[in-house]
Amino acid sequence: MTSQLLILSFAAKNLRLHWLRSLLAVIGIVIGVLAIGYMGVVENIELMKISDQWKAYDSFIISPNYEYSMKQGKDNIITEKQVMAIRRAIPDYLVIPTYTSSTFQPKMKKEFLGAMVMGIAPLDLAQVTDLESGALPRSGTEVVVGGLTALEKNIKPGSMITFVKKNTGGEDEEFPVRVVGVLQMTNRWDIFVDNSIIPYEPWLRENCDFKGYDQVLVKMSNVSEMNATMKAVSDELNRRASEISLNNFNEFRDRFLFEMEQKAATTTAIAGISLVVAGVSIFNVMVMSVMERYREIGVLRSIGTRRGSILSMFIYESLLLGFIGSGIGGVCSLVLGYLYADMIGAMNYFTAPATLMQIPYAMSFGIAISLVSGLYPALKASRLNPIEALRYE
Amino acid sequence: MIYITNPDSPIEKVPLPWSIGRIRIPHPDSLISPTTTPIKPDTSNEPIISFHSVTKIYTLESGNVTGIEEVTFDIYPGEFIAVMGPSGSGKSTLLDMMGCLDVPNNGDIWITGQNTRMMSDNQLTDLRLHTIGFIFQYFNLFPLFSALKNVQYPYVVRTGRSGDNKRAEEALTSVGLESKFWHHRPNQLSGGQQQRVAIARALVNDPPIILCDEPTGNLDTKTGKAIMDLLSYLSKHEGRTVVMVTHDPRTAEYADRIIRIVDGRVENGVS
Repeated sequence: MTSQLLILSFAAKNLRLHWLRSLLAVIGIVIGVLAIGYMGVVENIELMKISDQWKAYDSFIISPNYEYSMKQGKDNIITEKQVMAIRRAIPDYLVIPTYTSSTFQPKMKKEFLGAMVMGIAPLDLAQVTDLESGALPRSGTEVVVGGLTALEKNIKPGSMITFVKKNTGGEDEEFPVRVVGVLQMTNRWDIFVDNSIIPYEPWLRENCDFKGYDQVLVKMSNVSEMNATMKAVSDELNRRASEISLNNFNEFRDRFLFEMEQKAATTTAIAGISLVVAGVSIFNVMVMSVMERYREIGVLRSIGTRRGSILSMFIYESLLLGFIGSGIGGVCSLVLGYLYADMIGAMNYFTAPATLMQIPYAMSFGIAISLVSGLYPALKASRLNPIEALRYE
Repeated sequence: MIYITNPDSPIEKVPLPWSIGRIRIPHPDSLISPTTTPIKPDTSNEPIISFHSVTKIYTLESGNVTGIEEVTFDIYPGEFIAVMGPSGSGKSTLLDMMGCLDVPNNGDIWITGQNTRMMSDNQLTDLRLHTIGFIFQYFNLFPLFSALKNVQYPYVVRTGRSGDNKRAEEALTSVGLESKFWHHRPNQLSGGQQQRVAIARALVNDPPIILCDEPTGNLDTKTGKAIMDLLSYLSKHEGRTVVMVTHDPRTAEYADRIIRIVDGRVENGVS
C-alpha cells in the first residue's frame, strides 16, 4: 500500500462512515449524468436517423414565383414554354416537370386515401425512384402508389383504387384503377412521390384540367455544378422579371440539421443544470466532512502528512463520489438508451460510436463537477493550521 | 515478553519493548532478564533541541497575546524533560514550537541541528515525520482504522512502501499491546491500550524525539503509571529524548529535569 493508497483509504472509509449523505450525493450525480447521458443518446439517435433518412440531394427545384404570378394575374404554374426554356438552358441535365391534380380524389373501399394524385412521366419517375414491386402504369386504368401511402394503407399490386371526379352541379364520376406497382420509399422532401398515387401520365393530362406544372426538378449528375446550373436557369428564365424561384434543398437540410443540433445542445445544457445542483450537494458534503475532521487533519499534519496529501485526501473523497455516481449514471444511460433504441428500432444508431460517446462525455462532466465541487473544501482543509486543528473542539 | 516488575505493586506488570528500528531486537533467549542497561543522557555533545530567545506572539482580534517570551534552553539526546506550569503559561506553545507545528516570531529553534526558522511548511512536515513522535492526551487515533493501520500510517507516509506490516507489528509489540488487539478499532480498546497504540504510532518511524502532551491526563492512575514506565523506558533504555507537558507532579517525577514556565517565561531553566 503506497502512501497515496493509504490517503485514498482514508477518503473511502470516511464516505462509508457517513454512508447516507454520501449516498444522497451519489444519487445527485447519478441523476445528473443520467439526464445528460440519456438525453445525449436520444438526441444523437434522432439526429443520425433524420440525417440518414434525409440524404443530401443531387437535385434542385424550380417553382413558379407566387408573388410574380399574383401580380400578373396568372396561374401559379410553370408553363410548357418555360420547361422548354429550362431544357435549352441546361441541356446536359435531366429536367423532370411534375404536377398534382386536384381533379381526382383517390378512394379505396369507401375511404378517401388523402394521397396526392401526381402527374409525372413514367421515364422521369424511374429517375426519381425505383419500384418496390410490380410495374409502371401503361394505361389509364393502371397506377403506381408511393411507398408511404402503400405502407400506411396496406396497398399492394393488384389492389383496386377509385378516382372520384367531382363535377360541379352534377353527379360525381368514378374511375376504377388497378395498382400495378408500389414505389420504394425515397424520404425526399423536394418531390413528394412517397405520399402520391401516380396514374399513367398521358391519361391524367387528358382527363384533368392540366394548365401547367407545379414544379420542375433538375437532377444533377455532378452536384458540384449545382450553383452554376441554378444560375444558368435563373439567368434564362428570370431575365425580364423574377418569374421563377429556385431552391436547393441541401441548404434547407443543413439548416434543419444544424437547428436540431442546437436544440440537442440546449437540451443537454438544461439537463446539465441537474448535475450542477448535484455539484452543490457534493460541495456541501465536503464542507461538512472537513469541519467534522478538523482534529483528524491536525493529527495527520502533526505526524508528518504534507498539505498536498491532505488536499489529495479530500479531492479523492469528492472524486470517489463523482466516479461512483458517474459510473452508475453511465450504466443507467446505457441501459435506458438501449431500451429507447430497441423501442424505435434504431439499434444501428445506438451502437454508433458518436452515440455511445455521449455516455463517457456525461460521465466526464459528472466527474469534473465533483472535482470542482470538492476543490474549495479540500484547499480549506489543506490550509488549516495544524495547531488550531488539533485543539478544535 | 519481558516485564518490569514494580516492587511496590507486584500485580502491575509493564510489558517492555523488544525494541524497534535503530535499536535492538534481543534474541528471545535473552528475554528472561532485562536486556539493556540504562543510557545516560549525552550532554557532552550538541543539544537535540535548542531554543534561543524564542518569542511567540499571537495576534488576535482582541489584541496581541504573548505565548512565550525570550525562552532559551537546551535539551540533550536521551533526556526526559517535563514541562510544567499553570494553565495558559505557554506550555503548549512551547511544545508546538518543539514539534515544528508553529514557528516563532523571534529567536531560533534548532531541532537535531537544523534551524526551523527558515524552513518551508513541507520541510517542517518532513522534519516532524522523520524526527518527532507525538503523543496526545486524548490519543487522537484514527477512529476508522485498526490499531495496526493507525501505527502503520506514518511509516507508509515516510517510506511510501507497500504493505509492510512488520514494522508496525514490532512497534505494537514493543509497547506491549497483545496481537489479538491489533485489528481492533480504537473504540474497541481501553484508554491504556489506545495510548499504547498512540505511542507505537509515535515510535514507528524511529524518531529520536518524543513529544507528549499530558500523556496520562486521560488515564486512570494504574494505567497512567504503566504508560509513564513505558515512556521512561524509551528515554532510559532506547536513548530517545522525551519532552512531556504535564500538570501532574507524580508524572513529572519520571523526568530527568523539569522546565517550569510561568507567563510565557522559563522560570528556573533547570530544576
